[in-house]
Amino acid sequence: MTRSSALVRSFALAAAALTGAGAIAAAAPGNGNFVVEGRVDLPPGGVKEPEVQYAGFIDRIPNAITELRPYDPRPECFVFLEVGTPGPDAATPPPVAVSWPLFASNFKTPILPVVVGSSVELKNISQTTHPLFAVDKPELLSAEPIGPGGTRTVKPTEVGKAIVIRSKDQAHLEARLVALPTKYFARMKKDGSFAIEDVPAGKWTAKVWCKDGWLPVSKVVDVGTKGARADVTLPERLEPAGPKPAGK
Amino acid sequence: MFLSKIWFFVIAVVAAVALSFALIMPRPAQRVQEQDVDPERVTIARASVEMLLRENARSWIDLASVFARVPAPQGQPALKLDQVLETGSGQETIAQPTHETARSTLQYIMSQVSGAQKPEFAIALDDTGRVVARVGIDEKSWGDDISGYFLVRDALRGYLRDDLWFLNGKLYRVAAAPVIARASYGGRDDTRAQSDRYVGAIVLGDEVDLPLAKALEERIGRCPVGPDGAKHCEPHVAFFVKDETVAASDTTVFAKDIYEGYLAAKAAVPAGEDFKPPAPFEVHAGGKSYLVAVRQLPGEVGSQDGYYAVFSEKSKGVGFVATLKAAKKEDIGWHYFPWARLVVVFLLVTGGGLALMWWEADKPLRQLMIDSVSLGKGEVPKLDEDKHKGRFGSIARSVNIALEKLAREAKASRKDLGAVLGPPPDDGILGGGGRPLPSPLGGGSPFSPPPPSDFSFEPPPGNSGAPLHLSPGPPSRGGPSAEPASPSGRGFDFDMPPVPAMPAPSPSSQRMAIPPAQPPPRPQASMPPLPPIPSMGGGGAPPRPPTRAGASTATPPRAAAPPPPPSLPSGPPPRLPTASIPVVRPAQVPSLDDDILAPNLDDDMVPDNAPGGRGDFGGATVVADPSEDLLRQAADGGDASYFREVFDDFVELKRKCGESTDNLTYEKFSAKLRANRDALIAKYHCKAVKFQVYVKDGKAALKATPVKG
Repeated sequence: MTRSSALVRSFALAAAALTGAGAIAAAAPGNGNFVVEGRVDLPPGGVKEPEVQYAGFIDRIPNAITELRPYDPRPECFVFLEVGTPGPDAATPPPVAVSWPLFASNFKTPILPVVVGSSVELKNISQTTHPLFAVDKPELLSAEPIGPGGTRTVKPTEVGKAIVIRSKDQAHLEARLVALPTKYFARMKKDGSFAIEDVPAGKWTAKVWCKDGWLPVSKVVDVGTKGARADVTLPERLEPAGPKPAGK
Repeated sequence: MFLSKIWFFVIAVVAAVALSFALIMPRPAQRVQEQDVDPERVTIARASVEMLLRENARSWIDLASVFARVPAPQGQPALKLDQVLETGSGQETIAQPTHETARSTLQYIMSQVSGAQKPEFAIALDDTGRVVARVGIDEKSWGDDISGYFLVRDALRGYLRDDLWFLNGKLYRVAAAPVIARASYGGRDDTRAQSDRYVGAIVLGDEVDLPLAKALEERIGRCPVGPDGAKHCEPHVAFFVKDETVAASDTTVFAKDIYEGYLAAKAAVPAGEDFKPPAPFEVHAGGKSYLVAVRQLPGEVGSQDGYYAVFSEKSKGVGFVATLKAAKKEDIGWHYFPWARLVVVFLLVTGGGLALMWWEADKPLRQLMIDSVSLGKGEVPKLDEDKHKGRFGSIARSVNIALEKLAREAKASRKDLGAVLGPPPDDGILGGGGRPLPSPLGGGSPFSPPPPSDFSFEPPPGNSGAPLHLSPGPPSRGGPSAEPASPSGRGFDFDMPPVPAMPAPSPSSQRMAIPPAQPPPRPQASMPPLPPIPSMGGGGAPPRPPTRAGASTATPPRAAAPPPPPSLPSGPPPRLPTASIPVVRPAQVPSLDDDILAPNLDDDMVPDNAPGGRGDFGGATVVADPSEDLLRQAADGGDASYFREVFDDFVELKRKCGESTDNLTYEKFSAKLRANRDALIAKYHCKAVKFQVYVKDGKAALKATPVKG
């Protein structure tokens, strides 16, 4: 092997190493942490949908043209990584309040996970006045309705318990605020995919929270290793494990 | 009339019972009306409203489904809802042109529907629930997310459903249907459009308003047309959200009261159970009572205390009069009302009563009337008491008693007059042959005095104007009886003193009795003439005696007052004109064993103000006024000493017995003796009467004994 070929080989190895490192680096921020990606899939048989709420005079009728869309609870779910080796600022609430927009008939996100102690600003960006209240925690929200453009700030302090916020005059307007110990969480997209950033390397357990509690599914992710993903499949029955969920 | 009374009592009882029934009858019906019929009526009406609303919801759902599949108009292929919504679904933000196209599409579809089925608004949504366009409400607003609505969520999943939304104070019936882009075969390479896909949803809405409430009201109840030509339906329908009336078919406003009833019913639902339709409850408003049946509305408005009510005014109490007013002509027609039986019963009851009255009252009364007429005609001497029962028999007996009494009185009067007037003459004119009257003068035969009407007073022939003189007889101690004779052959021929004018008869005088005088002595030729009797003064013409037709009507001469004779021969008292003889009751003749001075004898014949009075004797001291003095003087001529003797003995005995003699006077005593003497003579036809004084029960008493022969 000539000197030039060796040099080329070295460069190739270095490039490969760099690429690999870059690949890894791509999965991790510059601070050495990683982005954990994954996907929350619906079970093959679909998720058992909850009972019909506030039915009309007639029971809902499936259309006769095509199959119904399956019930997708994922908009009301998020993924959380626990255990592992959290970073030094993992439990630090963000310095600014987390904005939670409120539309005419719903919140922008039906479920909002935050680091415990974070300030959450409910902002009414609709033209409708919303008389909101927090179920089981009346002291959290003032009784005064939130008018158009109005805001309310709440600060959840209890970890692992959903705060259900409802409207007094709109039965469908309901959202949940969940306080978590660290910042390693993410909501899913329409297709169920998610990405949790700035996760230190190590072994983490990906858990799924839907509505009022943790689902009995989890996935251990070895963050930092190649190809590590937190793909989870939802169970058919969304019965949270652990404490009783917040009442209706 | 016992049976008649019983019959009337029974009729009265039946009538009272029937009236009670009539008054009571409406009450059970009213109670049933209040407790059963009225609540059932509103409950059924509520169920009917529910059924109609369901039916209406289904219609809206079907319409929404139609809206979702309306083809594009001719020449405007872009106005197809699924295409428009699919375009919008792919945009990060709904673009203006997309919105415009969607709105045009909705407007076109709305134009294809008319009438009651045309919705008030339509909303086109993309596959995430964002508003692409609105028509009929907030048309300038789009892009907002209304996927929070349960209706929208279900529609986006492919369901057709209905709901009720309360927006800005209005209640809407909404229906939604998914908008599905049908599979198209654009070619082998066109993988995108190879299957049916959900591209969005269409939401239709219609307000719950007055026309809906009215339409429901007409369908569930009765709507009679009133005098004003308007329909007055019952029961009414109203929709509420909390205490706010959204729509009502009746202007009656008592939403608050109904809301309270609704809340109370809701609170009574056990935890965990569904709020089922509660029982009807009562609400008072505007002075009226209403029965209300409520039901929670389904859908989202149910969570906002949205409900509807069916209410009706409570039935008013139907009393007896109101029941009668409510009766119609056909109710008393021959088909329903038992007229024939009623008439028969009426006739039987009336006939029975009349028959009993005739049998118990009319018939015996008629019989009594017939017998009374016969009695009046003299066909029968008295009424047959056995023939008349009950009270009619009492009437007959009373009549018979009265008749007997009259007969006795008449008989006694005849006897008294006979005693006063003396025996008839033997000439047979007066029915001679009668018994001569006993006389103190002795001798004589028994005499039956003729009736007063047979007598007439005429002066003896050749003696017109001369006073009549009464021949004094010997003392009454067993004097011979003499038979008077009249020279004229027409009456007693003895001198009568002129009778002074008699005073007008007074009621008391009717009771005055002329004591049965000694029958006048038989006139004898050897009879000495009587001394003239002094006039009593104040005399007027004496009353004319009653005479027969053709008889002489000579007025008896005025009698001059006779001088008080020192010793007038005792004789019968002068005859008085019959006309002046008042109607008297015969003196009660004492028995021989009676104390003639006993108080129970003849007391009632003596008026209280009689000159003699009742006195200490208590006896019937009869005073014949004004001729009493004349009688006394004429009669006492020979008896005065005897009477005086008896009086002295009586007084002495009274003193011995310790009795008071203060009120005892000779005049009264002698008058008493005289009266009794006369009565006994009249009764026993004795010549004289002997008086004896004796002690009876410790008191002085006097006993009279007739002396015969």
